[in-house]
Amino acid sequence: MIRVLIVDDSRQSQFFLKTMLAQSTECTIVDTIASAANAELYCLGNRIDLILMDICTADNASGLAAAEKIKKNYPGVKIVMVTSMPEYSFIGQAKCAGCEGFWYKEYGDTELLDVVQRVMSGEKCYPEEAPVIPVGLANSKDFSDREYEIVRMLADGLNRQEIADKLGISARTVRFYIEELKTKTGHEDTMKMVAAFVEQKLIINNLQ
Amino acid sequence: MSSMRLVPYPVLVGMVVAAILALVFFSASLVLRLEDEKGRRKPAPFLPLIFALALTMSEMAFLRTIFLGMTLSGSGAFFQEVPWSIHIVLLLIMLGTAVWSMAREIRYRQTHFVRSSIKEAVDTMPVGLCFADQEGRQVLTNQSMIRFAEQLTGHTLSNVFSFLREIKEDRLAENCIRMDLFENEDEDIYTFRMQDGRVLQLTRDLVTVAEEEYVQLVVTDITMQHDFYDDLTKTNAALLTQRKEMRSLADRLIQSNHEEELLNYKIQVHNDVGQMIMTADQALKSGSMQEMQECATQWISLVERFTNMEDEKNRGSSELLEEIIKVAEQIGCKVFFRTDLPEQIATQSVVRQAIREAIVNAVKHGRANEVTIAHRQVGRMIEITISNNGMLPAKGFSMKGGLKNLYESIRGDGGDLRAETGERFALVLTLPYMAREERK
Repeated sequence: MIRVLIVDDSRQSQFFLKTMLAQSTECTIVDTIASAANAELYCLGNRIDLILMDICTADNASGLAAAEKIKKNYPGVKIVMVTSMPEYSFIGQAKCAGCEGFWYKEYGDTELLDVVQRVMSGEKCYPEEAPVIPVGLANSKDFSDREYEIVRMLADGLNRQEIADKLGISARTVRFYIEELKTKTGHEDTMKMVAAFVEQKLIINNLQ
Repeated sequence: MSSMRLVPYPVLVGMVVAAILALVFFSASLVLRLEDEKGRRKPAPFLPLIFALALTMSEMAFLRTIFLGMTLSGSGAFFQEVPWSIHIVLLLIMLGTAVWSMAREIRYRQTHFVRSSIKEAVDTMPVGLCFADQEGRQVLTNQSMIRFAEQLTGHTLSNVFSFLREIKEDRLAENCIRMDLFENEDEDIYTFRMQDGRVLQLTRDLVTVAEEEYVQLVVTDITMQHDFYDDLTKTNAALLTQRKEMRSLADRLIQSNHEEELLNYKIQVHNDVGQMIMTADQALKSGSMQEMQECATQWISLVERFTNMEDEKNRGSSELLEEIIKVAEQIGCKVFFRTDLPEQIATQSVVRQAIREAIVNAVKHGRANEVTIAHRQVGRMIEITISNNGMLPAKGFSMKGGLKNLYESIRGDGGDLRAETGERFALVLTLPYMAREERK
């Protein structure tokens, strides 16, 4: 029997995941917790085979940070990140953390049970790409990783020079990127452009 | 011509040149007489002057004798058989005297104020300057002022009062514009935009020198200041516009906050209802009554939550602490609160983080099965002690990993985190705290 821990701060999401897993006779849900920060504590004294981990959890705790810690201390525990946020960097971060799978609650056409079965049989199961979300006149596929980085830093409140220093490029280059972003999205104002990314949840900051 | 054979030819040429030079320098020394500090000319020293005059006349006569072929000896000779070498010496003395007096004059001019040096200094000033008497006649005018007057009026500056009248009547040259920079312009200050784009300012003053009054005109180039003033005016206008916008934004801030809160509620409703719809879809597809009943229960719970949204928000923090305690119990570690933490402290994320880290360390390293939490107020700080019944560290304790991050976070909030190893191992967390009464 696969012992599953669900980590999600939304009761509806918890119930939804429970309902999905209830269709499998191989899985048993051990517990549901709201904060990813408590997941490692849970693994300390309980045998867990699989964690379905939300990324943005209660107490601003990052599921990705918790997954990295758990994989380091409990490598036998398999982790599937689940999220409804189309944030561009989550798939990459999940892979870096060592997670075995990644599943979008609202996007994609792969069933959760299918992902669970493949992960438990030793496969890595990731979507081919992040969902395509419209941002102004463009969509989320039209932007490079560097452009996403710059938008994230703008959302954090950094100015052009600070962004340039962090990325090791010139302020002029940063300005070029920003103008390109504004042209692609059709927003004349930088703050409106950043707000469009945040509103569409392509950029999520403030995770601990 | 016989007399000319007595003087060697080169010597004769030299004597002629020396005589001409002596005549020139001597004449110059008569004209360029020394001045005293009041500009009055002092006559050159009397005796040397007479001596030089006599010498010059005699040598001129000697030279005339030679060129006219008159005899140098006998009764017809000028200066009766004085040898020509003596004449050379006398010429040289004349020359020397003239050169000496010229040198003295030059040295004097270099070390004292004379009219010409004052004029030279005034001409090199960067401003235009003109002094005139009570009739408007120029006493001292520099080149800058002369050029300025010509550019402004199209003719040379003659009488200062006429010049000022032309300005007041606006009879200026083409492309020279008089500008009124200030609302209440002083009558003695005039500003002009010249043909070449420069902005010049003319000021008129009355000055008193040696109990006499003079009119002083000064022209200064204020192009840079004028451009700065222009920029400043534009910047001020822009700032004023921004200030109005900020005021308008501030007025809308409250409304924006309300809208943001409303939006957050809408997002939560959208997400939760979306999840429930997918859940209901699954339940209906499965056909299981139990699942459908559970789904219906969840719908009711969802609606109740949305109805009591405010309470839901406030319950969040206590539920998070309860979850930590619940998880700790599930891994075999009971958590006891010796004292009830104040609400303001219990809801702080850093306190939950500290309790969590303490439990992890207690179970992982100390094999503890009990964690006790107590607090006390120490002045304006609150001290929370989280102790456990596990083993004490054998080799000493150092903060690593999660505890180290926690320590830095607490320090940033103005608090402190330390470990105590007495009878029991304890983490002591100190945070700033203000009681409710004090906050009011």
